[in-house]
Amino acid sequence: MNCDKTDLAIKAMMKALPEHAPSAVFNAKVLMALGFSPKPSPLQRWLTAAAETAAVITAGALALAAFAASALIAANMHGLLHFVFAPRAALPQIKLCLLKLWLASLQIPAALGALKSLALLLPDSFLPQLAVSTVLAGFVILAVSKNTHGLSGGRI
Amino acid sequence: MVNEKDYQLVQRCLQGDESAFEELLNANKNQIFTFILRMAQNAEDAEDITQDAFVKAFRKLGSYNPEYPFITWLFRIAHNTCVDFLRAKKPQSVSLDDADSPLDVPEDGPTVEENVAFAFQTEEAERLLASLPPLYREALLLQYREDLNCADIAGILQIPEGTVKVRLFRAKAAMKAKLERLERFAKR
Repeated sequence: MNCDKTDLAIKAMMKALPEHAPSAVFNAKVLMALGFSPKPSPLQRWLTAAAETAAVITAGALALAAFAASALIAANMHGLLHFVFAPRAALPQIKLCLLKLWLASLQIPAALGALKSLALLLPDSFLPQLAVSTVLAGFVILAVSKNTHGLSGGRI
Repeated sequence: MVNEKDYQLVQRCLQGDESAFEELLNANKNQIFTFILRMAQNAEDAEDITQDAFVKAFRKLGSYNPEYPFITWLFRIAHNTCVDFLRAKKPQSVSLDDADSPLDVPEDGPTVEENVAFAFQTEEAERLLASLPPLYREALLLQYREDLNCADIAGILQIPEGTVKVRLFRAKAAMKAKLERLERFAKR
């Protein structure tokens, strides 16, 4: 029996055996057992950054809305206080607003239908002028209705 | 002889550097896991044992003596953890003898080298190793796969060097007998 050759042959066989690796979460398990916090994966980091960005944007938007609301409240403080201390007195105004909204909503389908027919009749080159004139008409109506409300003193 | 790289990493770990722990883990986990897997013969158990071994090692880092290679110290902890785990799981005593391959081998027959080649081709090597008794298996793995000398193996297994030599002699004889029987079985 040639011990050297046998040894070498067995050694070669043992050396050729493959190396194995533990699972992908092995490091995390060991570090957690030692009290270290696990490192987040790239996806988790992106999600955290996206959530933080969304939170900042939302906070900014809320701040802007709060600023606008406080500005509106400050500008209409007299009316609001009047409503708070004498809510019954404001009821007629609220009713008028709701009535106007309801009447306006009845006009919408007809207006859309008219717009559609007009759009089909007019050549394409007239559409931009039509859009601008529609917007301007809206502002005019708004301004006129405000003046009308002011003249009537808010009473029906 | 102090291994500088291991020593530096251990020092950083002792100062609480998490990245140093991970570096030590990545440098040694595959080697330790592979050894324990071949001892435990079960991937799930092997991962649990390896995890316990590393946790124990990192908690006892202060006791590491840089005069010796880190991997040897780690193997000792891994071996002890493995033995404790397997004893708790299967409390019967481990036999030194291998009933399937008695130590008296015939003089004639194919050479071991030819049988090793056959074992490579038929991927029998893992199975042959797994069929050895654990005490022989660990001695062979530590000497032939991890290139450790008898003194290092004695330190890891916490047995006298003479006992290591006896186990290695018997392990090689048992492996040789199994390889010879493998070829004879294949030729039928």
